[in-house]
Amino acid sequence: MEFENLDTVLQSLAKAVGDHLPLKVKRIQIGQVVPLQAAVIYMDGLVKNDVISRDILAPLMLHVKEQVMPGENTATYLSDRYIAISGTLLKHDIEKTADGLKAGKSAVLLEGSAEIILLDTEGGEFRSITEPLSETSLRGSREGFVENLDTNLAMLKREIKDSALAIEHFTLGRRSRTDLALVYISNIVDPDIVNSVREKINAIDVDSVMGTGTVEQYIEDSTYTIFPQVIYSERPDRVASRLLEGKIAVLLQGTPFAFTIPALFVEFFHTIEDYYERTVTANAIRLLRLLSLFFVTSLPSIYLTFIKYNAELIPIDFVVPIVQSRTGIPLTPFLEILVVEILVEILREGGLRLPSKIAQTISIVGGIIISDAAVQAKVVSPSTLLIVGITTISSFVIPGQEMSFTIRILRFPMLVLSNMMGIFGIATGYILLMVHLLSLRSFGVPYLTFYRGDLKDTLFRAPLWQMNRRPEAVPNENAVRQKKTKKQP
Amino acid sequence: MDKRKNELLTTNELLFTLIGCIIGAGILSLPNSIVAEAKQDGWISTVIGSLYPLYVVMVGSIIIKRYPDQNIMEVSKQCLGKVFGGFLNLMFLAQFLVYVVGVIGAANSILRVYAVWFMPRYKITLVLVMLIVYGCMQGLKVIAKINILMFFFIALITLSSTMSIRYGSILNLRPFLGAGLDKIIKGSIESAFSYGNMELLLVIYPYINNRKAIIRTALYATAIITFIYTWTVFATTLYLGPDIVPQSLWPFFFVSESVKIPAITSFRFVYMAFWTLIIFKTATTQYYASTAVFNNLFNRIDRKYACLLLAPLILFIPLLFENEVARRDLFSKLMPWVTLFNLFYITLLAVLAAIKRKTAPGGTTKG
Repeated sequence: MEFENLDTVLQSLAKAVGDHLPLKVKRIQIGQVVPLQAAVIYMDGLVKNDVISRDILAPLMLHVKEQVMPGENTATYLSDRYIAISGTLLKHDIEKTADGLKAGKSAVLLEGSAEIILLDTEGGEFRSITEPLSETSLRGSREGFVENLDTNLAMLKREIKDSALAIEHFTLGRRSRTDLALVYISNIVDPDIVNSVREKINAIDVDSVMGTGTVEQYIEDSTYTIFPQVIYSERPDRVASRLLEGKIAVLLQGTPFAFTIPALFVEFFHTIEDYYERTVTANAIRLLRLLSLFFVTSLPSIYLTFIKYNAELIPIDFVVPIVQSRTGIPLTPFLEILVVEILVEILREGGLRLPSKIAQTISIVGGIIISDAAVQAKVVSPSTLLIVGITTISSFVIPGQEMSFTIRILRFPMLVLSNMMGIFGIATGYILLMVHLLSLRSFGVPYLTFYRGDLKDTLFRAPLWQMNRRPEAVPNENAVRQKKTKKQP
Repeated sequence: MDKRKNELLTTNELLFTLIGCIIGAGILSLPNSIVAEAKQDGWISTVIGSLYPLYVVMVGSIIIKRYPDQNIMEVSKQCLGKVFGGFLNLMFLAQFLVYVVGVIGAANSILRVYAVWFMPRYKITLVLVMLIVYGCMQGLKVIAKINILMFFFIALITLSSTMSIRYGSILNLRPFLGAGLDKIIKGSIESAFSYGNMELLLVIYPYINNRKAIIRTALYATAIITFIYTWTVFATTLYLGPDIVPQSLWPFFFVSESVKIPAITSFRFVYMAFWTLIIFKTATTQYYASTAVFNNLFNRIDRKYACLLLAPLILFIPLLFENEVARRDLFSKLMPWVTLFNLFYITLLAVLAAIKRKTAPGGTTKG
């Protein structure tokens, strides 16, 4: 295609970008004697204006002290000699140029030249790197992902300098044209999983993807399970450590939440801090989390079974206070627990999206005033309140919002089952959970599985120098993580 | 990643599946019948009783070596013809179902006595059967993993029963060999019925990823089961004495409840949850075997549908037992026949396999 007339090219470019999107066009003249007509085009807000003025306009307008003739090699000549920007591409294609402009690049059109110079001037305002809000750490890095994909990828590259680190780029959404990056370490990751994920991402054909949460739903294996099949993180160190275990990270432009796949059930109860802490303390915390998991899922239902069916199993010293506290309460034990549980969930959901100052009021009004009033009004008993309180606090111990929410939801069916069938109901709940978890898959990998070697990092964590092999549960190409790093005592 | 390899059972999974299929809530009542016969020497009978699973493994190994890619039902059809072989397979299916029905019936009684007195039999059975069918539909790999998980509960219960030692009296086990040899043998025959279901090995052996380790693993499983069974009978006799053990329907329950922790009145709650899970695992594994045999008999019907088709049997038959005593009475008459059939079936096929090997060395194993 020969671009003879600058105006024609400008018009078709404006059309490709979109009729209603204003392009900034700066017409310039390059060279002496008979100046070459040219235009610098960009979209306001997406570029660094000072870079355009300093490195494109100034050299082309002021420093070309020769006559530039329109011709085949003019674009190459100008970008090689005068434009002081590292990212320079020569394009013939109007559509690709338009895509570049939307991504913050600047284009230089030259009269009589078929080539368009596309320059890397991406800029605009982005949030700077801050501490991740949802995953604070006491001893880890304070860096969290931001909304800019390039910055996030740079953070990952800084964490892993391995030559096998692979980044694949995709553009998703017909209208949103959102950039997505698939990151993995090519000689650790299982190629079959990468291929299947790549296929699934390529198959997404939608208007827009606005967050990693939507991408997750398009590519996950089981839609109707309550369990999350990907692990979200805002922390580059956590994502990097998971990449090193042979997992794949998915990062999306516009969101600080990356997710890694495949995800195993036990991994939702791990945090990056577990590896930064000393072995014994880290294990104590893991034990605490396990206990919390049990409390959240079962404590209300066990309490219900005790007071409804198996009062003989309540320790004798507790029977009198519990019975006394329940006298005069018209609700059945089940309804009583259910009412408090739902109230707590409402309080939590209410406080979640409020500004922190109002949220504090909610927790005081809800937590102290309402609960006290509920006991006074004989709607609930203090012992029920205690049980629900323990359950609620325990649910905060489970790291990761997605699993925490799942576990919290689970206590409701457990409560219903124990109301119907007592201890047999609780056992039934556990059986259903167990069978479901064991049959679930995350990207083809069993969600819950048992390998002897993996016991080093499941419920408990072995000393780091003993974890010589990568987890077996996620297939990988390179099982050895480290050689003996410490002489065993 | 080799997808098929991922679906096959690992050696560990085989080990725990075999253990899980045999050890169930039966160990609660196990000492009852054995000690009734062999008195204080019941634990010796239990050791001798392990000859039965050992025999199944050793004789089964002939079939496994000769036909590594086919399970026993295919071998039966191949050696005995479709009609007679098929008939024996049908009987083989029936014996697995007998075990499932027995487990569900026993579970019903235990649960009603110790935990859910307020639930009618049919409700308990219905819920159990629904769980078993759901679990069974998920396939062998999932069942194997359930068995691994559940073994920890069995181990935990076995371990906690060691607490009973300090309450037991060694006098309860004396005089050693005092019951008399004939009583011990009678007791060991009684215990052999509890060792049933090692036959599962012959149904699932083509699905093991490490072919070389099959027999070794089955022997390990036999050793672990023998140890747990023997310990159960030993600990119960030590704790309760040979006169009280036969009086209780589930004597081992007393032993496992002997754990005392301050502020917790009774461990019964925890144990009942454990036992329900263990019962589920045993019945599901045995039901899997039934559906696998069914699937072999009626190739056209998918195994998942077989899980649903056989469900009415395991739902209604347990409801026919009036009570635990009547159920045990029936099963004490039934089990010898079941065990005899299994011995006949496996021995016959092993002999045929051995003869075929002699007549056609290096013959193809493809069916």
